[in-house]
Amino acid sequence: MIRRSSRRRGTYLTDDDDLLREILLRLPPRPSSLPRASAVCKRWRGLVTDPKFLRRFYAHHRKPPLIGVFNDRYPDRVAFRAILGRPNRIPPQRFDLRRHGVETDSGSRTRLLGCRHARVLLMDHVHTELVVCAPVTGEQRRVPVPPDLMRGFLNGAVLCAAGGLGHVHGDCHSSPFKVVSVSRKDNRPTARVYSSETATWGNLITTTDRCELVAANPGILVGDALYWSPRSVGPGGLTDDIIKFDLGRQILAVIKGPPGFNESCSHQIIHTEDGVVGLAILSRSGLEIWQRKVSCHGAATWLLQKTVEMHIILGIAPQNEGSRGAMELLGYDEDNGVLFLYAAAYVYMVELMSMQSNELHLSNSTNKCHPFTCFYAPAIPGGRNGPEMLQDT
Amino acid sequence: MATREAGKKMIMLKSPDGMEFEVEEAVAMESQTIRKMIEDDCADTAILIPNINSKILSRVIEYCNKHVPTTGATGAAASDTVAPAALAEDLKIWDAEFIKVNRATRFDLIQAASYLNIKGLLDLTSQTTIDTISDNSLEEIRSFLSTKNDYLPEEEQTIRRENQWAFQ
Repeated sequence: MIRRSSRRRGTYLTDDDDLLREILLRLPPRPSSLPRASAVCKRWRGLVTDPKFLRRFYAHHRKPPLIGVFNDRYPDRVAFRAILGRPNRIPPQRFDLRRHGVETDSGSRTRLLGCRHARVLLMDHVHTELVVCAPVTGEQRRVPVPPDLMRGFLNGAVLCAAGGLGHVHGDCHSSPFKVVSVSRKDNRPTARVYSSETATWGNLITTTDRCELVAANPGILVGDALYWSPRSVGPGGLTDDIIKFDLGRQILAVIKGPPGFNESCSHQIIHTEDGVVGLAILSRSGLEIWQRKVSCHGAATWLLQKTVEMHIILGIAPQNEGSRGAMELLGYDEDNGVLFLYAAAYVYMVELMSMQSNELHLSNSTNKCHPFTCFYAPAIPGGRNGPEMLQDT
Repeated sequence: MATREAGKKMIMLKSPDGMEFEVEEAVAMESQTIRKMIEDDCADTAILIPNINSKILSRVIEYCNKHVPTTGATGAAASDTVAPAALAEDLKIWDAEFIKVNRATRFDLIQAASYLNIKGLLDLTSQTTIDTISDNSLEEIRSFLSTKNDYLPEEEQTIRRENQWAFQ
């Protein structure tokens, strides 16, 4: 309820904490919003660093912003690269995993498997451990990999395990998490699920489906399932097998890609506008967007939704879009439906729904990008949201 | 303002400066505060809306009139023939015109939307305020919202230094 008072116009609004909170809740969720608001005055600082306010702020915005990417070798190690312009360009040293004791240098044999729900998943091949790290808070856990997952390739995905109505992904730094690891044994995929709450791996999950995958792209979450598509050409050519892991039912399956999939050079699992699994494939005619439709009888078909000439979208000279090296798909932000793409010596972001593109930076490599989305509320001197100060100098 | 139509229940809203507004019940119930009063049977004759003057109350009613769902309303916008997306677009354009008011009126509208609990209007007014200031300098924000900087220079300096990148 609004207090009755004869306040002078233009001042009353900021005298009322409830109203001011309503306004500040709508600050854009970009990284600079809260530090800047904190610097306005002490009252604002008190409001925007209140953990209760922050929970409402995240719930209001729902979708965490894409603030940067982790690259496997940038330039020679796993590292964060900010993609937003000033004043939202978070210094990379803030998310330098070495600050938290994670060896990421090129000699460390640490490989990046993926990012999700404000966490990064790495494989430490020296210690045969998976490393789950929340770059914002530095919290990490090392999880020994069960020997039966180390037989073929190993891939994995980290997910927030927080349930509850009030939870919004993107503020999951300290929430319980799960890791789904996939491997292959006797030409069949296998998987295990690790739970941080019990600190144990679940039983080995198998399937009778055969699988030719020898290396996988980062797992992509679509609905309640994770998908791993083939990363590279195997001994028998590029396979069209895709591993699907149903999280709710804990079922592994191998699904086939669309026609011509195993002849394409670059592809990416996506979620389509209908929220079902799809594929973006670079072919000679452009970027094909495929959707996987499953009938009520369970029969699956791939439908070509559209083919887009990427050089027109990117505003560059025509490229040989289907050939390796000229153009490649580097990664995908599941939260915002954004594709990362390499073309003509630059890395671009393409928003798939609108097909709007954004040139990011020059690049001489086609290393995978692992998009990192999260709400970022850095500690503020005198604020109420955490004691750790992280000066960048 | 709403006009009386056959079969529509009307209620009276009164502002503290003595103005009375006859409004369709469905329109008034865009306000969760009024809805609760009606549902609790506290609104037999007229509802006095404290601390919202007639000028602001009439604007609020104008907003609710535009935003009340038209399903089943005779003679209202032809929702059967217009696609929902087109209606939403129309509302967006209307909202953008509606909110072209001076700062004092906008603040009064925020206050009214909060008291009357009209989510759409609170969203519109608060969001417009944030959009106005979010790219401004701290000085401009303080001046727009008449907020005094109560930091000592060194305190403000410490805050800026801690997250220097956010001030560049």
